Amino acid sequence: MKILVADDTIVNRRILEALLGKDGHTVVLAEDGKQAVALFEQEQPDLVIMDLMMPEMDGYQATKLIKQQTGSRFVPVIFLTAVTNEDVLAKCIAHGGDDFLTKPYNHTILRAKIAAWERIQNLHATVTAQKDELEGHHARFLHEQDVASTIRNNVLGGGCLDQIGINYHLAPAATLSGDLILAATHPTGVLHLMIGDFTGHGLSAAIGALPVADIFYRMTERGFTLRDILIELNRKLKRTLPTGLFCAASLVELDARRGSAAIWNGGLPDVLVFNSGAGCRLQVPSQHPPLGVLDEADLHTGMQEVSLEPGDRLYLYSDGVIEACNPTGNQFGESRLIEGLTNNREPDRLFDEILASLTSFTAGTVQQDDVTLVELPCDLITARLLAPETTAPPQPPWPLEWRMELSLSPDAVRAVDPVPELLQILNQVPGLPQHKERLFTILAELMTNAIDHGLLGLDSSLKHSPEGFDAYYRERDARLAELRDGQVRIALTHVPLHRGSQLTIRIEDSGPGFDFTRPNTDLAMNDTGAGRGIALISSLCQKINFHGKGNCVEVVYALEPAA
Amino acid sequence: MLTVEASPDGTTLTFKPVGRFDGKIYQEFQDAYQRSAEPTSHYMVDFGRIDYIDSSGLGMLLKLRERAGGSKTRVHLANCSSEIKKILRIANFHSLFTVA
Repeated sequence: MKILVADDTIVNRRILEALLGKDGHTVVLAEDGKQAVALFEQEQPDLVIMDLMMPEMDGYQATKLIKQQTGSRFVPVIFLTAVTNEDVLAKCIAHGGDDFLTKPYNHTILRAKIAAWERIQNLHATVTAQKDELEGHHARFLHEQDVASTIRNNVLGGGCLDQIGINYHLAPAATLSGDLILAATHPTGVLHLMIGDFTGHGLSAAIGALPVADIFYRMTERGFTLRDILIELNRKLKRTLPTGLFCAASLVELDARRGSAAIWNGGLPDVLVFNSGAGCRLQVPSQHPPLGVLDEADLHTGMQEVSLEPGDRLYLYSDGVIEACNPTGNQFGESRLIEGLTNNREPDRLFDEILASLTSFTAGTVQQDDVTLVELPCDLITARLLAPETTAPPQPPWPLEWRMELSLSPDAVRAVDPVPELLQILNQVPGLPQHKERLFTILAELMTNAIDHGLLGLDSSLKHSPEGFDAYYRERDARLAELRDGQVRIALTHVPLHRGSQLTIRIEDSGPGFDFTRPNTDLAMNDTGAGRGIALISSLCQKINFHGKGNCVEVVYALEPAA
Repeated sequence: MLTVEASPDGTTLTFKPVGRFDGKIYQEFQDAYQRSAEPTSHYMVDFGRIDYIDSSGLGMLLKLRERAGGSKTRVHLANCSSEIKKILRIANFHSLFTVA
């Protein structure tokens, strides 16, 4: 150790220099307090032995100035004095001294004290280093959380959540939320909405949310059904998340043209269908385990079908809402939420009222869980979904004549849903993207007829009940897996006309066909969810004709010239 | 707090947690069922003295189910209060475990 000795008596200085030097210490000598302060700064000793009474500056003052210089370094100061008065000794400590030894001193005791202070000093250095390291880790952790949060928000914010009239509240309990809300419009003008609640909070939940958002947005944009998205989400989460981590979720498909909603709830509180006239008219409880728990074969994708009525609002929320606690530890509860809905007189203020009632209930209690609440005012959203796109002005259609043919074998039908792929191709053709919603609907209906009824011989009357929907798709999967023979041929022909152009879609399947002389053209049948295909297509295109034994259909769709 | 009992014939391991079945007993619970080198054929979680379960708790049950080979009949959740049953119902754990 390097030890600074401050004493105005030369004999004392020499004795200490000899004693400490013999123990292996390096000794720096000061003749008074002022010199001690200067040498301390210059030599940076590890320990100071300080006399009390000295000329120029006494030991109290010198100690005070030295201690001001040390910063985070711990340098013990031991007073060595002939005074034994208790008040004086107390004053030494008050001025920053750490210990004292009265003269005449015993060499062994001095040596023991120095050794003890050396140990304390080492301990102090270790603790300081650990504290610095911990502070560094914490700062890096906070920074990484911020970065992760930014990435998460960028990936999750890709949809139409803020454009279509959805009201939502997402209050994370920590920087990184375990809850998510996703909304996107399907090419057919259908809204897909999902709220999810991952196990736990923090980094793992935030990472899990990334593939969910990616799959949801990408598949919706490309025209996949909510059922397909559900299967893919579950498959991805089951494969990537460790057992025990999962995502409770509610998904809604809101179809503006049909005026209906399909709801799937896996592990979240009831989805509420509220109407200002009838109150809370329907609750859709969780009927499935959360996403990421079941193997694909065990997943049920049956959805609750709801026929929408004017004034309907859907409410989806995470358990953070009903489990929010007030200062006495009581939970907000589902009954308070439903009571708030029932007592409301101004539907447009309902969402704000619920939030206000939640805030006043919790009264500043520390939030334990992420709180997510979403309101879908169906009238407003339906109107916006049906409004013509006001973005880019329509471009003139592709002026050339072209024709494209595609033939699908059973293996091809099993491997991929051809509709999004066809739409992807049509989207490359100038002039066609403005029509993609209608073209998607037409193609989707025609392909369903060709595959489900033509190749697989399924009976659509099965779809009359929600249970039937599920049974229908199970049967579809089973028959599709067994399909050995047959094919579907698709031909697209585009012809320029004097004004505008026309697209002809011809689809032929190898099935037995049907009696097309008595097609059901009653559009009202669309609401039943079955037998809706032909009537719906007729309403969207110029001409629909059946050929052969009813296994070939040709649709003519007019593309208007630019205004 | 968690106590673990093996049946005399060694085929069933019973867990008796107390208080909250949440992330705080995760390590203890995992250590308990991993301590036996060979997985036993049946597991029982006695919820008689549990008043709260959260999603981490549900996750622990899924891990136990995986340990038991993924079969519904090998993991029994016993003495569940109506509150616990409600949460298990929302998560549809009835289809994954034997609940009583």
